[in-house]
Amino acid sequence: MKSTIICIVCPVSCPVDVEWTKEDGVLGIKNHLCKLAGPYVESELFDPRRLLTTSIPVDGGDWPLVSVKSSPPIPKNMMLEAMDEITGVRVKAPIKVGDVLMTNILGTGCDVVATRNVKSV
Amino acid sequence: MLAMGCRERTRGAIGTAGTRPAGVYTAGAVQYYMNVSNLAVGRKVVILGSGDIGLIMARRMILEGAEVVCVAEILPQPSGIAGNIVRCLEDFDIPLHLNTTVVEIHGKERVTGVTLAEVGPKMGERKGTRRFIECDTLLLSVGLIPETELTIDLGLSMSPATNGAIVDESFHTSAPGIFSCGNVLQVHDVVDYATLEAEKTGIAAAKWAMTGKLPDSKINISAGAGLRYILPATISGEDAIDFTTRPWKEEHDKSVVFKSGGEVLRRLKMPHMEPAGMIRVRVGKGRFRHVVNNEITVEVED
Repeated sequence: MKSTIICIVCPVSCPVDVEWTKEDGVLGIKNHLCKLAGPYVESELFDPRRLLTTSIPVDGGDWPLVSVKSSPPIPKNMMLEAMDEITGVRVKAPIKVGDVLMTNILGTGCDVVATRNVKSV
Repeated sequence: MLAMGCRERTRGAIGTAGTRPAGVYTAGAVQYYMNVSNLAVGRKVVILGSGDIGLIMARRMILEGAEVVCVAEILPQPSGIAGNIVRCLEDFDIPLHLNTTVVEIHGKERVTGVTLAEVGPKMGERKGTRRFIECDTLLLSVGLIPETELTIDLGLSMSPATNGAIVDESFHTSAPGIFSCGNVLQVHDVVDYATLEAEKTGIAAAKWAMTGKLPDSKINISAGAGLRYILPATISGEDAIDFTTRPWKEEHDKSVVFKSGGEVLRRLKMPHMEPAGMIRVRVGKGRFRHVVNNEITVEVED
């Protein structure tokens, strides 16, 4: 099968031409500028994932919210379900970049990790 | 150091007809309300313009529980990078209507809907294409205006293509000791590139402050066929340079070529390029050894 998949690893957004089959996986790719396109295309065909970014309310912090991401990226079709899990969660300041705020969300093995510092006040 | 950034183009700047209800926001304002102040702005949203911030806010609003009805873009191609079309619109099945704009905003106290219409090649409304879309929020992602007032007041040499100051490889403007970087210099697609530019400018400004000297930028760089601009405008040839440029139109299987005296200094193959995507090209200092008459032209070739 032949497909064109836009690589979303970096802002260049290469439209990667890929030849693949369900049984043998990726047979070949072209039209990409760097080596990150290979693993991305493979994952996009057989296990599409996205970095989920959102925010969680903080009690007692110098900011009302802390920005967070899924680490590693979660399966693409579970993004909205994961948001339902995250909604309603509150955390307490202080928070440091990299703090794990939720673990193994929806049994995916993915954690929710802080991406900014929030000081306590 | 001039790093004033951009302001967002507003409803007034694009002159949309209709009433003046609450619920019309710029994408950056909504980003601030949601991500910093923890405020929701609406439940049913239409987005006008396909700039990157608008696309990212489309995804953000869906994830936070709002409904995004559609994105309308007046141009025949999206203004945001292709990656954002994929992960912000296609992932969530949000329709993108090209050659389409908002011709009227409805509502008295609060937005009750907008009228969309298709536009022809000269941006005129196509008769018989009007349709009403119910929504309570209109989000505008219709471009950025560099905050150049200070740059202009200082009388610095400006580039008509970027609306920013003309700078050399040290991001030094035409006035000694004045530097410029970030979105006021050229509009960036992603913050990472603006940050890298700012770091370089800071280092150069510190060097100037301590020594009063910067590399002599005697080589002129000009944008030729296919490119809107090239930055920096002048270089010394003593260091590797990260050039930034944008094409006029979408192109496939072309190259960006640096030439001097008819000889090719550097050729970068581009499987795909589009005006929405800034091109960054690193050229090593060794390539500048063969520059003729201190002139380099950069253009798109087959």
